[in-house]
Amino acid sequence: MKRKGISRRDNSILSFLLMVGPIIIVYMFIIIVMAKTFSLSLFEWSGFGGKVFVMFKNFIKLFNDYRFIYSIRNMFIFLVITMVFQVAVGILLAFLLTDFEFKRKGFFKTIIFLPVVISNVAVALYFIQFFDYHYGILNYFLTNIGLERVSLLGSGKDAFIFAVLPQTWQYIGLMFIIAYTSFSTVSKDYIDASKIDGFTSFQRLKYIYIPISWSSLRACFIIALVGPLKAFEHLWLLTNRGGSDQLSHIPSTLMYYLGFSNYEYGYGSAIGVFIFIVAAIFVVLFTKLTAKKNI
Amino acid sequence: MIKKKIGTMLVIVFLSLFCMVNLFPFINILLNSFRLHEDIIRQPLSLDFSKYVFLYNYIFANKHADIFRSVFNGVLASFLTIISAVLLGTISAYALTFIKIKYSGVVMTFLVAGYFIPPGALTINAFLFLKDLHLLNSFAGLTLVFVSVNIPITLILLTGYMKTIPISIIEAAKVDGANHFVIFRRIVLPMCKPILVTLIILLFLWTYRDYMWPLTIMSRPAKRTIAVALSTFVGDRQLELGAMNAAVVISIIPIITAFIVLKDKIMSGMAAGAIKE
Repeated sequence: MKRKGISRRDNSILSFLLMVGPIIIVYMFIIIVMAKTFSLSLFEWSGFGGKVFVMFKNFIKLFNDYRFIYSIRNMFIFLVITMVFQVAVGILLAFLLTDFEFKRKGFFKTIIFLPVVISNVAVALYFIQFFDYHYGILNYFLTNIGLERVSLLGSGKDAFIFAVLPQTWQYIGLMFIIAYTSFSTVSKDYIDASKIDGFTSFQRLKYIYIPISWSSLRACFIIALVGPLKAFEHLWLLTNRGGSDQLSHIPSTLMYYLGFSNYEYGYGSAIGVFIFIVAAIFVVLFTKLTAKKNI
Repeated sequence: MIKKKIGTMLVIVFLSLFCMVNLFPFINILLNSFRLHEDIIRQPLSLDFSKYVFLYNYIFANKHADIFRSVFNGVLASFLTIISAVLLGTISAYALTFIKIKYSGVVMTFLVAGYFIPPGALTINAFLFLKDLHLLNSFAGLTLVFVSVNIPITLILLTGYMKTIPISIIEAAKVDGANHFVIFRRIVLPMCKPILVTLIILLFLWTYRDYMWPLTIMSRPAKRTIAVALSTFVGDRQLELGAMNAAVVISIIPIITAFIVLKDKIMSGMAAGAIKE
């Protein structure tokens, strides 16, 4: 009996290793890349010749680099714009579609969601022509109603604000669908009861829909929070690599610019480390906050 | 009652306006893909169909950026990623859920922790590492990155679903003498069909549309995926609006087709994928 027990356990360890082993090997790729980012951030290297060990010099340089300071500022602008124009609008649309009675809800749902599935590059390309100084549709309208042309992308401190709008618009549908999915699970009984009690629509949103769906709505806030860390594609294209004055970067685009346009691999890796650290802080903060909520 | 009706009317008007805003870019792109650059510059919007050209922009776009080949490249990369991720993911999710060994919890935590690594921070060193491995400009390299980056969410979705399979079914099969291979192949895999559909849709959208990784890894023109090919229409060069819009139209055809066929599955899948995050 005893021998059989041991051999069975050995068997399951072996099966486990055989089945999980391959995925661990593939997964090691990003783990190694992450480790390499940490180590390269301590060197100065342009891809040719030897690496020069500089300790924390890259990080000191980073915090004295105006491009990096702006990229942090931009990250906060990004966060605020997403929260207001994406999360709030998405939740509002979901609420309107759930709480009011009318036909063709499926159609509205589909059209609101549609931009989410389009590729980021296609959306960026559209808005590049939309905002274009010479032949953009926006400027076409402005000149037609007698206003001055505006140059919104490319350079200047405020260019970033406009560069972040396409992405914000595109993913309203994602926030919408998360909120809508959880709002539609709210029991009809509560809604009917609230109608009898004379609740206004807004009161229903505040006291019924949001509290009941809170655990799902949290996903919207998490996505909005990590958005500035994960974003790259729209901004890279819309600002044409950070803008001619390099003021429209976020950390990930600045890192890409330093690595692939300037060949400052070590310096770029230092930004990578910065992004990892910010992400880690977010994770810790968020697990702490949600842990409190559960108690 | 009348007040209520007016409220509903206002809501419908607001939603209709929002939908028009959402649809405008699509119509604009489609119409302008049939117009010459010179006409678009003069007038961004025009319904003067006599000046429309049929295929000129599409042929030009294909010549300029090899659009059809890059759509194929994009689909190929996506296909390879889906195959590998589903194969690796289902087998290991099975082991992580149903084979109890001492450290399976630790292994699981290790494998999903990568979810919190922002991919944008990995570009430089992924490029350098792939260069050392001689995997730049190869689909093997791109697939390796795509699979590796998507392992955490794949496992979160699959193990989350497998946990809902009643353990008694597995136990009964074991008593009947079924080994892991049989249980996996005959019981668990068929039951996972709904989540596999969701996973495949999500992986397709995440990889076919991805721009950052192909831009980093596939720089050679013949290896460009569609997202990178599209981006060659902007940047420091002069805009060529007609061809650019034609390229956008071609690039979104596979996505729109998938969306029309699978729209409910895609919407619920995206919501589920996001909430699991």
